[in-house]
Amino acid sequence: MDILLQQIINGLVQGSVYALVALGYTMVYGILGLINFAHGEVVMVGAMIALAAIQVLLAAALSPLLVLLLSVLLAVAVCMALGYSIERIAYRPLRHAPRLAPLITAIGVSFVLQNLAMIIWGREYHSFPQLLPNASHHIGGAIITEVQITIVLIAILVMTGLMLLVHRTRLGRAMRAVAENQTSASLMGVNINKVISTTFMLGSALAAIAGIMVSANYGVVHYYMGFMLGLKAFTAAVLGGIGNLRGAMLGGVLLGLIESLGAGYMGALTGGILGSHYQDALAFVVLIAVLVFRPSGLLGERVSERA
Amino acid sequence: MKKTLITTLLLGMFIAPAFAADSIKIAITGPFSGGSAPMGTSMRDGAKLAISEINAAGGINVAGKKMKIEIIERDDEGKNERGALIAQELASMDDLSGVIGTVNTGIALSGDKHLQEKGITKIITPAAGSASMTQWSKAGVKDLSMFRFAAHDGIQAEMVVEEAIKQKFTKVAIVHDATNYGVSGRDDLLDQIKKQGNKLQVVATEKFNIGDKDMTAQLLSAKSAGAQAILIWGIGPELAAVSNGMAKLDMKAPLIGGWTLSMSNYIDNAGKNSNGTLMPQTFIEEAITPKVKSFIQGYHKTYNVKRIPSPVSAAQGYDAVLIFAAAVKQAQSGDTGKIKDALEDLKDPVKGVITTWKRPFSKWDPANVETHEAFRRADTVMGMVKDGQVVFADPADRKRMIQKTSK
Repeated sequence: MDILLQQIINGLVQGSVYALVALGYTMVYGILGLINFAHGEVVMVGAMIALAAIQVLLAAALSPLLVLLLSVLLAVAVCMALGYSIERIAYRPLRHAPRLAPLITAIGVSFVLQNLAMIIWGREYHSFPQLLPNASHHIGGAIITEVQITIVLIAILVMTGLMLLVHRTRLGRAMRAVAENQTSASLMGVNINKVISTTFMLGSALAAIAGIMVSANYGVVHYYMGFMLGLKAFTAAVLGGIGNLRGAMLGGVLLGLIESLGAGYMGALTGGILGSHYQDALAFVVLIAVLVFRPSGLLGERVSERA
Repeated sequence: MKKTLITTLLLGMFIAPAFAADSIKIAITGPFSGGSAPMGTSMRDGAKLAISEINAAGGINVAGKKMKIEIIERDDEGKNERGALIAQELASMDDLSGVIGTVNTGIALSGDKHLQEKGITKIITPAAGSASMTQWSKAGVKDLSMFRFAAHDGIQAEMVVEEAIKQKFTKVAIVHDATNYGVSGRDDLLDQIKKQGNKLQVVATEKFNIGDKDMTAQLLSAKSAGAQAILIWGIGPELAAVSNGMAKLDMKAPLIGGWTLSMSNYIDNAGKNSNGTLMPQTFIEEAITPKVKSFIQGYHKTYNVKRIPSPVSAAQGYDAVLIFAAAVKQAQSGDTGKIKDALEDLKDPVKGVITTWKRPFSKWDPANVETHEAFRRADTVMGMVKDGQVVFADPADRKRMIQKTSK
């Protein structure tokens, strides 16, 4: 029993990270109909910037909590600037080009960021310092660390904030308007470029937070860490219905749970033929199944934006 | 005018090899970047330390002429396909005297055939996977130019299983990565458990992939099956992920496994969770004798580090060069085939930092891999991680190593 509970806890933690990253994919898709494949690399850049900041700030002998807060702020700021530049440089000039063109620049940007990070930070695995207390709590035989609790709480907080922003503010209304019809929105006086830039910056801020969460949870940072995470989060976004904000959150958490439970019980269910190392494969089997049986995802495409 | 230019160029091409014969060309290959880099760079830097010492003394005396060693470096990035390409490139070099290196067993499996085909002598170090030598005995190769200079996994698995039995464990879990190295390590462990009387019951066997960060699923199944110890075969970053995962799940079972548990990226990324980890080692970074001390200090000073990223790799790289140079001297030639013959029958003992090597290799016999394996059980000790350093786990081993290196 405690094993099942433990798998669910791990799934939830992993799922919250997927959800945050998936939101970035889905927001951009909702507005532009574009899949921003460079999004995973933004997650990595967030983690790398935070690590660099932490190293500098720790040397200045500040309190750990303050160090973490400042590094998060810096990482978020850098990633927002990065998100803005990516859109400005790689996507805006191609906004009216055939859909394949921005897709290819997206992959190009992803490679550029990955290689830049490799040049700057090297191919080594960097260890991410433990800033939060490493205490763990026992819940019904399962164990959850304080870092993990923080991850889930912050994810819930950030997602609630985002939902409020999209549904209760002028900016959110503008975003929904642009998603529905760019031409009409611009005729109604919405500054399309500004809205799109803001969307990219919001998504990148979420990515930075997610990057720091992953690094704090596993204690390592690597220039390649964004690639797989990005693919998984994209899978989560498709699972929930790409373009749909609630779908991305649901898809993220679901994918986290599926992976964790699948990895935990796959060996037993298949009599040892498939082991837990097929965890990654499982995520993509889910993607294929969703695309075959429910191409618009569990909650359907873009509904929330049409509200 | 043009004609003379071409003639000069052509002449130059013929004359060039004559100049090249003034030096002994050795290629050093390994992963100098990526997850295996601590092993690759330490091996390379240890080897270069020996080479610069030899060159500083004027070079190797070959037929009355002092020959310096020239290095060709290639980074295989720990990728099998890169390794195969590099092996092909090296195999096409006519004046290459030999190759030292390879960290990842998969690369030995994908690349060495090209070198063997051309009869180029190679000392494999520090790759430990059994398969990189047994592939040749399985193929029944009569004349082998591959030599191994590392404690192969057969020895290491034997020691790991012994340790687990010594600590009175009865239920263990085997956890390994999905590479050639991890899989062959698992097979060696299972083999040894059987050989040592089935005193250990394997309650879980779990695999993970390179790059995996979350090992909770694997560890939970080991935990729920009641494993008292985790026997593990993998590479630094993933080993650290396992160790950190165990701490997260509050698992107290000790981690015992292959020598890679001494890599700096395991020790650093696992932090204090790595304390107490046990692994077979051929070299411990502790100045136990003057010779070892001068090697460690030389390494620290030359490469400006406080700790060797992988001491075993550095020491093996260093000693491998000394043995290779001894073979060149005995063969009185830079010809790779003659060096191979000399390696199979080294007359003079070679004073290394690991031990004094007396005829480490013998004539290749496909029925006995040990003929091209330099390390025996006695050359290996148990190491333990303690506060960011690998130390002798057993004081008796320390005493034994002092005797061996000072002899």
